[in-house]
Amino acid sequence: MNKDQFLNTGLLEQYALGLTDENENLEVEKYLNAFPELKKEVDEIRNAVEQYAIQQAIPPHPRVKANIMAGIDELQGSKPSGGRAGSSNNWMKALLILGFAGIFGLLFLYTQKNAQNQDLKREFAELQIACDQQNERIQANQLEFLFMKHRYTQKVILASSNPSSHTKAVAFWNPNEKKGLVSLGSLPELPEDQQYQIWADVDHVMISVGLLENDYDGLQDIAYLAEAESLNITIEPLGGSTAPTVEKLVVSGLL
Amino acid sequence: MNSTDLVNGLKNGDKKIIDLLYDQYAGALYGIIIKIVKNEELAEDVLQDSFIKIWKNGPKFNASKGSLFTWMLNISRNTAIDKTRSSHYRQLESKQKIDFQITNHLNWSYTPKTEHIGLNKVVNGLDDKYREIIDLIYFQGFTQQEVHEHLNIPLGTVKSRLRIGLRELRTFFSVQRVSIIVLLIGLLG
Repeated sequence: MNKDQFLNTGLLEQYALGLTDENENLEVEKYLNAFPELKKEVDEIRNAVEQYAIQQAIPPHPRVKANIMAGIDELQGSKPSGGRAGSSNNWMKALLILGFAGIFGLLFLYTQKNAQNQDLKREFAELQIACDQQNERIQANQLEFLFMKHRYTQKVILASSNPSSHTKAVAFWNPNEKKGLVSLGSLPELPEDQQYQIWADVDHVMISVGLLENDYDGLQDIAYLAEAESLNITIEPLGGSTAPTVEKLVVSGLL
Repeated sequence: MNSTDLVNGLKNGDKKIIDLLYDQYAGALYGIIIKIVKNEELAEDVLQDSFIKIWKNGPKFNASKGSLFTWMLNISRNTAIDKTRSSHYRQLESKQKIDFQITNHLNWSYTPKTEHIGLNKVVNGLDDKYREIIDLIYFQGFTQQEVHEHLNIPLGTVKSRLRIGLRELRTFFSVQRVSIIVLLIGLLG
């Protein structure tokens, strides 16, 4: 019998409705195993007729339930698997469950505490790093401050050659310490593919003394050249140039 | 409580499970029993006997062979059919011609559960020719052959009507489920 022939027997519906005998059950189950989609159909039929039956429910008189419960109570004494025999067993089960629950509870608390501990350690390490960084920054600031206050430190204002422009940068230059610092001051922000570069004029030759970071407000180190006569900042492609782009000179100042 | 808990409880003869099953299904089973025995008092007896059997036979229930409801329905239906074969039932039947009308017999009102109010209309829309066959076979335990003899319609027609009727029920209840889900999503969203 193929699938369609089988479906035509009407056995599948009888089976889904629970109206087949043992032999018929075996027959139907053979087809269910061969065609899993029929299994789904059986489940759907069962669900649908169940809903259908529930929909047509009529509530029985409450005495019926009371009678049933009383009937079961009466029979329970004679039923070996029910009631008292199981009760000590149930106690044991309850105790076991409680025991396991306790162990799992402790285990849970332990892992939680452990995780908390790890978190605290991580947080502490992070704070320590932050603290070290702050210290370094303070030290650097102190050094900068001392450097600026140094009696040989010369403050150089770098200004635009265009008198209408108020753009300015500032440099600190110290021949004694052989050290130079520069701040971008009010120089405009540059697009990402460009960068300020600072040049020292030595005997009319421009020598690069540093590439400046775009968005850094603080003081940046530049190279110190004893023979430098002036400092000049130009706009160059990101990464800097070997020779200054003179037409992109922004500010300059004499030393 | 999920269906596995229910089945396990049933297997262990747990009385609480009978309580739950009763609340859930007694109305549906009673509605079917009354269609078979056509007498309230007898239907109550049958429902009572059926639930005691359900409790006693709980350990024999095999979930792989069918749904819990189908199993309970089988027990109830067989108990009801047995009742109609008893001498007591025959006496009763011969003494008074039973002109059975559920609504006239019930002295407490039947209020459908709210979730079913909307369904009523649609399932009532199930064509009578399908509904009659589903009721005879599913609720009253007729074989297809018996329906063929009882209604005097060809056996092939009985089979195809049962098949179509069940398909309509399936479609209806699966659409119902989808629309409830859509409604829920709508409410939550």
